[in-house]
Amino acid sequence: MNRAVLAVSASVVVILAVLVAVLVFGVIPLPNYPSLADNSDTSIPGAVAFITDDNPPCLGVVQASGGPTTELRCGVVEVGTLGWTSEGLIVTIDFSSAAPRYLLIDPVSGEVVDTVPTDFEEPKPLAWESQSTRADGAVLITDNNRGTATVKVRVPNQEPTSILSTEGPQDYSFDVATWSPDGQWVLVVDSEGRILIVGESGTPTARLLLEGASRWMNAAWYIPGYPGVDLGG
Amino acid sequence: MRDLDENLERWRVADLISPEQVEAITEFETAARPQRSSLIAEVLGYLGGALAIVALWVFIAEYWNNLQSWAQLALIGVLTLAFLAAGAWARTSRSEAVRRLASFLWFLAVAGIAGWFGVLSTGTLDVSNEAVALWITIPTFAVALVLWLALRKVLQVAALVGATHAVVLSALAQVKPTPFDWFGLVIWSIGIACVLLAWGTVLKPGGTSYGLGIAAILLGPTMASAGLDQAWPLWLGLLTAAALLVASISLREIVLLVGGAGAVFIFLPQLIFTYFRDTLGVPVALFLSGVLLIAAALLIARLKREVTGP
Repeated sequence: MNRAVLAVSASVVVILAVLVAVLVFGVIPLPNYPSLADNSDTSIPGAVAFITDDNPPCLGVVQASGGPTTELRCGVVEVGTLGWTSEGLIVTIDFSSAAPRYLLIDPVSGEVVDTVPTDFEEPKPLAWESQSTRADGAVLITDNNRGTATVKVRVPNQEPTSILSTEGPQDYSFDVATWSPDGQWVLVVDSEGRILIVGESGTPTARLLLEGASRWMNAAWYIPGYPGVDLGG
Repeated sequence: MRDLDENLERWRVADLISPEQVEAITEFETAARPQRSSLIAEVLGYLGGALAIVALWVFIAEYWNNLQSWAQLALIGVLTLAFLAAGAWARTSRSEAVRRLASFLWFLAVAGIAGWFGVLSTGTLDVSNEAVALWITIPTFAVALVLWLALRKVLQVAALVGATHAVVLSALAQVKPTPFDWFGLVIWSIGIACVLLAWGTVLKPGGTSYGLGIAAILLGPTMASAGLDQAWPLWLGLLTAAALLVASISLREIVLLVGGAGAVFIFLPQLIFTYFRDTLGVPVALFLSGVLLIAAALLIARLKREVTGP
C-alpha cells in the first residue's frame, strides 16, 4: 500500500471513528414526558398564554388540561412578559409607542380591548417573581447543573424540596417555573421550548402541555375566580 | 545575498571555485531572486486591494438591508464570478506575482460562494434554521475542493480545511439534541486527518497542511475538555503531542516538532492544574507546570537536533 492510500485510509478511519463515538456517547436523548395533548386531564383548570417560538412569533393560548393551541397576533404580538387580569384578559407590555403601556388582549379574538399607561414604578405587576411565589410564600426555584435539571419548592423556614428532576443533554435546563393561580400546579418551560405541568408536590408527575414555546418568555396561567395582575388603574 | 557573496569570496580564495563560477553563480542567483521593487509593488497592490474591498464592503453594508434578496444575490454573484474569472486569468500569467494573486482571488471566491448561498437559503428560499448551515457549507466545501484541485496554494488549502470543518460540524449539528460539547473532538479528528494527508502528500502544500492540522489538534482537545468538563480530552491532546514529536524525528519534519512542542506546552499545564489545583494549590501547581515545561523544553531541544540533523 503506498503512502497516499495509507494516509487517506487512516484519515477516513480516524474521522469516522470519532463521529461514531460522538453519535454513540455524545448524543444524550432529551427527556420525554407524557403528552396532555394526547391524554387531556380535566382536573387541571384554566388556560395558559405564552409566546410561540415561531418567526414571526405569535401569542399562543391553550387550555391547561391539554388540547389544541390558538395562535393570535402573529407578527404583531408584543414579545414580553405575560399575565392575566382577573377578568380573563391577557396582559403584556407595548414598548413600541413613546410611552410604554399595558395592552389588555382578548384571548379569543386577539384584539386589544384596552390599554393602561405604565411608568414602571413599583410594584411591577408583571414581575416574574410574583408568578413564582405562591400566596403562602412558597417560592419555585430552578436548578440546572450540567444536564440535571431540577425544580424545587422552598417553603419559608424549610429546606427546599424537589418536585421535578430529570437528566438530559448537558445544556438541558428548566428555564421558567410559575405557579398556577390556585397554587396546586406548577408550569415549567424547559430549554427546548416545551411547557410542562407538574403537581405542586411532584405528583402527578410532569406532563407535556405543548412544544414550540419561546424558552426565554414566561407562560402565564389563568383560572377564573382567582386574582389576576393588578394594573393599579 | 550578502552571505552568498561572502561565501563565494571565501570559496574563491580557498580555490574551491573559479572566478568564472563565482560570476555564473552570482548571475544565476540574482536572476532567480525577485526584485525588491517588484515585491514592494506587490505588497502595496495587496494593501490597496484590501482597502478597496473594505471600502466596498462598508459601502454595501450601508445599503445592504435596503436591497431586495435578488439584488443581494446578484451583487454577491457578480463579485464571486468576477473573482473566479480573474483568478482563472491570473493563474495562467507568466508573472509569479500575478499567479499569487490568483490564489487570493479564488480564496475570496470561496467566501463569496458561502455568502451567496447564505442569502439564497435565508432570504429567498426561507430554509429552516436547522438546515441553513448545510445549505451554506456543502456548496462552499465543493467549490473549495475544486479550486484547491486546480490550484494547490496556501490559501486554497486553508479554504478547503476550513470548509471541511464547517461541513462536518454543520452536518453533526443536524443531530438532535446536538452534541455541541463533543465538537472539539471532531475538530481534533479533522486535524489528525490533515496531518496524515499532508504526510501522505495528498494535501498540499505540505507545510501549510501540517500547520492547519496542528492548529486543529491544539484547539480541539481544549474545546472538548471545557465543553465536557472532563480531563480525558487533555490526555488525548498530550498523547497526540507525543505522537507528533516521535513522528517529527522519523520524518525529520520541523513543523511536526513545533506542533508537538506547542501541544505539550498547551496540554501539560492544563492537566497539572486539573489534577493538582485543589490538592496542592495554585502556586505549587504553577511551579510543577514550570518544572515539567523546562524538562519538556530540554527534551524538545534535543529532539530538534535529531530532526534537523548535524
